[in-house]
Amino acid sequence: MDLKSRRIERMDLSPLLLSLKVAITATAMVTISGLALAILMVKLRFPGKSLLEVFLTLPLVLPPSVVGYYLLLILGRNGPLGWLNWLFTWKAAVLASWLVALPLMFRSAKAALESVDPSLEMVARTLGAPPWKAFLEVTLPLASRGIMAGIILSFARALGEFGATLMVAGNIPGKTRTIPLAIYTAVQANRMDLATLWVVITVSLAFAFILMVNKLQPR
Amino acid sequence: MRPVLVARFSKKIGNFFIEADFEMGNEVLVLFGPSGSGKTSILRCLSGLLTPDQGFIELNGQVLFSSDGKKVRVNVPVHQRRIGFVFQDYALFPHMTVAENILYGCRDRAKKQELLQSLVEKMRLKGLEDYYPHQLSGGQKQRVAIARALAMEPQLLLLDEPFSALDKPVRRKLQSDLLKLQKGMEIPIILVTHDLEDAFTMGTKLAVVNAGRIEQVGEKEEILKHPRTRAVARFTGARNIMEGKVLGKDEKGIYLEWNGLVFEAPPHEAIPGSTVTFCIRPEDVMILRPDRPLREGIKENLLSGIIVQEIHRGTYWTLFFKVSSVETGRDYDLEISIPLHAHTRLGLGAGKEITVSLKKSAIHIIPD
Repeated sequence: MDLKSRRIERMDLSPLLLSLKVAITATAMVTISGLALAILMVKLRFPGKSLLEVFLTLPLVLPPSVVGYYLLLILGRNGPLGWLNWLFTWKAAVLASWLVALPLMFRSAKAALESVDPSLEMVARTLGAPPWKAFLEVTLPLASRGIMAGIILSFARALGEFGATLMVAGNIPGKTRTIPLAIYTAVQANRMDLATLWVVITVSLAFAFILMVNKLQPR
Repeated sequence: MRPVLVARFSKKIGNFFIEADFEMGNEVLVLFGPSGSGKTSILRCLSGLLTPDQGFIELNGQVLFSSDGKKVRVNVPVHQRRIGFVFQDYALFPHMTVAENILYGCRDRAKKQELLQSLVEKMRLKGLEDYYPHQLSGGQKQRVAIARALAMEPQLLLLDEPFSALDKPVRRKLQSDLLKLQKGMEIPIILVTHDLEDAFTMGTKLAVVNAGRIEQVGEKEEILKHPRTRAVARFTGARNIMEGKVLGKDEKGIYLEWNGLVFEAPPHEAIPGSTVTFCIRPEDVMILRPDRPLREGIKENLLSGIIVQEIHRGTYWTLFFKVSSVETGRDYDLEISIPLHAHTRLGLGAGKEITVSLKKSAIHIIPD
C-alpha cells in the first residue's frame, strides 16, 4: 500500500499532456483539411476524383505501421520533407495522427454534406444568395451534426494513435511518449499497475467520446 | 403590348430534349402535361438552375440568358435573377423558423418586420412565426414557401406542382389564395401541374407540354376547343379522337367519312381525299330525347347505338357508347359525359339503346 501510493505519486503525467497536445493539434488540422476535401469532393467534378477518394480512405484500411513507413520515407533525411527535421519530435506524432484520422473526418463530413437536400441550396440561390452564401447558411449548418461527429471521432482516433507514431516519433519520455506508448512501455517493463491506470484513463475518454458522437447522430 | 417574359430555348438532358418557346405578360401561365414531360426542367432553365444549350430568355427588358449554341453571351447567375421558385416539396429550411424562412430573401433590412407582417397576414400564417417547418401541416408549409418567394419581391414567380401533395379542401383554399394574390401583383406567374382541373382553375393561359416540348400555348378555351396536336387533345380530355377521310367540302362545312358514316364538320382547309384526325369532347356528344322533335343544331351527325358500360364519376356520368350500324372492332366507339340530373331524367343505363348527335361545331380537325 505504501509502496503503491509512492509509485503513483511519482507517476509521470507528461504522456497525458503530450497526448492531448498532439491530438488537439492533429484534430484542428484534420477538421480544416478533411472538411475542405469533403466540400471539394461534393461540389466539384474533376478528373481523377474517384482515385483521390481511394487515396484519402487508404490510411483507414492500411496497418498504421505502413502509414508510418511512408511517413518515415517522407520525413527522413532524404525525403521531400526531410529539411523540416521533424522526425522523432512531437510534430511527427501530430502528422501521424493527422494522417490516420483524416479518412474518418473526410468520410463523415462528406456523408453529412451529401445528406442535405440539394434543393434547399437551390432555393437559397433563387432567393438571392450567391452559391458560397447558400452553402454557408443552409448546407453547412444542416450538416453540422455529422461534421461534429467526424471531429470527435478524429480526436479519439488521434488520441489512440500508436503504430505510426512509434515509427516516426519514437518513444522518447517527456518528448514523444503519448498514452498508448506509455501503456506499451509500462507493460514491457512489467509495471501492470501503471499500465492499468493509463488504460482506465483511455477507456473513460473513449467512452465519453462515443457517447458524444451517439448524441450527435440524427434520430 | 410588349411581353414581360420572352423564353425561347432548348436543352438536351441525357437523351431527352427540352424545348420552350413562349411569351407572356403579367398573367398566369399554366404549364400542363403528364409527369416526366419536362415541365420542371423548363422552370429550372428559366430560374438559371439549369443552363440551356441555346436560346434566349428576357424578363422585363433584361436579357437573362443568350446563347447561339456555341458561345454563351449572357447568363445572369441564379441569385441575381429575382425569380421566385416554389419547389414541389416546398424545400423549407428545416433549421429556420417560419419567420426566418420567409425573410431569407428579404432585400430591404429596414422593412423586415413590416414585410413579415403583411406576408403572414396575406398567407394566413399568423401565430406560426416561431414554428419550425416540421411542426407545420402540408398546406401551411406550402404557404410559407410561397410567402418566402414573395418576400424578395420577385419579377417572376415559378410554382412547381403547388397542389399535388394537398388534399382537396386545402387545395381549393390555396388556389383561391393564389388567385387573390395574383390580382394584387403585377408579375407573371408560371405554374406547373399535371392535373387538368388545377390547370383550368388557375390559368388564363395554358401551355401544353409533351415529351419536353411545349406543343401548344393559348387561352384555355382555345386549347380545349382547338387542340393542335393529338397529344394536346389527349391530355386535355378530348377523349374521342378518330380518323376519317375527307369526302368533300362546300361553304357550309367539310364532310368526313368514318367507317362508312358521313360526318359534317365546320369548314376546314383539308384537301378532299386526304385522311385527317378529328376529335370531339365527351361533353359535346348530345344524347337525343326520344320524346322531343329534333331541334336545329342537334340533328347533325346522328348515330344510333347502345351504352355498353357506364361509370359514376361523382358529379357526372361517363358512358361508353357503341355504334350499332357499323362494326369498328373496338369495345366502344365514343365516350360521353353527362351530368347526373340528365342521366336520371333520360333513364340511362348500361344496355340502353340511344341516339346521339355529334354537334357539327364541336368536331375539331387536329392540324398535326
